[in-house]
Amino acid sequence: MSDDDRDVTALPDRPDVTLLTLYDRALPQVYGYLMARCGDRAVAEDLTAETFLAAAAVRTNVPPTVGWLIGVARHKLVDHWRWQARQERLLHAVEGSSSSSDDPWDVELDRLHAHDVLTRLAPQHRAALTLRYLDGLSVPESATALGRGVAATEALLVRARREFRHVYEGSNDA
Amino acid sequence: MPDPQPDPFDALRSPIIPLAPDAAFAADLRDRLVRAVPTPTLREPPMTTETTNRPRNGVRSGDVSYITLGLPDLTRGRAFYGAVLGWRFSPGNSEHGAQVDDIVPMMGLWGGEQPTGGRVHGAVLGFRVDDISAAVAAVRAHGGTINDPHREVYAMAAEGHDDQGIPFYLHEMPSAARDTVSGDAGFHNGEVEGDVSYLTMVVPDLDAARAFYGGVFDWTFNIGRPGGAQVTGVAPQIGMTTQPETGPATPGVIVCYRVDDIAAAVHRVRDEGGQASEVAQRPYGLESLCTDDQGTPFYLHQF
Repeated sequence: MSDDDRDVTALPDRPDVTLLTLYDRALPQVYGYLMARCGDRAVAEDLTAETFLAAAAVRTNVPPTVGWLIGVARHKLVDHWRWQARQERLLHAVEGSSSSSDDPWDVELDRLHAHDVLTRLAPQHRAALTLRYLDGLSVPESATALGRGVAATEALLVRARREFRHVYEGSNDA
Repeated sequence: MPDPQPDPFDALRSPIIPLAPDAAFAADLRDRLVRAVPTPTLREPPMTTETTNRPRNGVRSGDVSYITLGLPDLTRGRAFYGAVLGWRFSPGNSEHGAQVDDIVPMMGLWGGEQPTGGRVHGAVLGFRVDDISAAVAAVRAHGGTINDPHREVYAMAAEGHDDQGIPFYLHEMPSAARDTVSGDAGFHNGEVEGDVSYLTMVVPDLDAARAFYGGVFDWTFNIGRPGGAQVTGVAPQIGMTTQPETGPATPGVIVCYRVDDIAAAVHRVRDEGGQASEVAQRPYGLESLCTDDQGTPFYLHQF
């Protein structure tokens, strides 16, 4: 029991740990991470399976850790949203946004509502906000995870925040 | 806007909250991983003594070399025995099996078919023998059925049934230095929590069982109460009976496990969906008859 209470992502794992011996401990962490971000059980299960199977395919002598698996899961999540964005782009062109400035926004976000708003954003915006804010990555780290440049990521974040605010305020008024 | 505003988006920060997925999904993914990951047990014989230096396959001919606990649901078995006895597991040679780490004797949970076909819900004992060809001949001479010896990665093996239909295995593991083996292996009732403390063989006919196992393994017996006999000098200790004083009379093997704190262990059994009788004082220690959450009987012992 006490094992589960610790922040296992922060612990260095024992050197004899293998993916299989780590499985019971890592599975709820990986699934919990993905479920809280994609909000869809079927997608979370698919991405969890992809995460572990991708980890199993890695040939390394370095023992796996929960933190490393979360990193793999994050990539799977970004890949999923990238695929989703591509699908949607086939249906309708993403509206171009000329403005690149951020208006200050003085608001205290309602967490439940905010997470609901996230699910309604364009996938690439959802991905950027998830990495930057839910996961707390820096802009350069988010850029790496997204496979974009830092400047492009900054611009993406501006557009993502604007869409978020638009949906958040619009649905609040409704 | 000279005041630096706190970023409202910081409220979205979401530390990971562990969440258990659907149990069937978890079990299925584990099976896929077992197939995907080359594990040490696939490359090494499973029946090697571990770093604990405790003999885990018995030391003498006739000792128990391995116990397979056949269960309807392997995943539930891992969860139950992991929680109750603190067992940890390594993958077996098949997706249907899981090796229990460290306990004596070696033991595995098994959720698939038996080597000779059919499924067994309960324990099947493997016995070590010096000469498997001679042992197979003895099994057949005493009315048992058994397949021909064949090479497994861990030993020459054969699987069969005694003359009353109880399944068992043979493993050829010649005693390295027969005369250096002391008369007492020291692990007859388990040393640590989770070890096997005793094996109860429930047999329909006690005289027939004594003739068969005495003939095949040279076992000798102390005759106790009517309907019961204690095998002398095997590890772990084995008792034969037609009807346990407590417990079911279904032919087969009931495994007893050693625990440090039987009251706490009984609580764990009940918490995990099993059943446990009130703890009783026996001449040899404290005992509770239990069943796991799949209806498998077992005993707990605190010495």
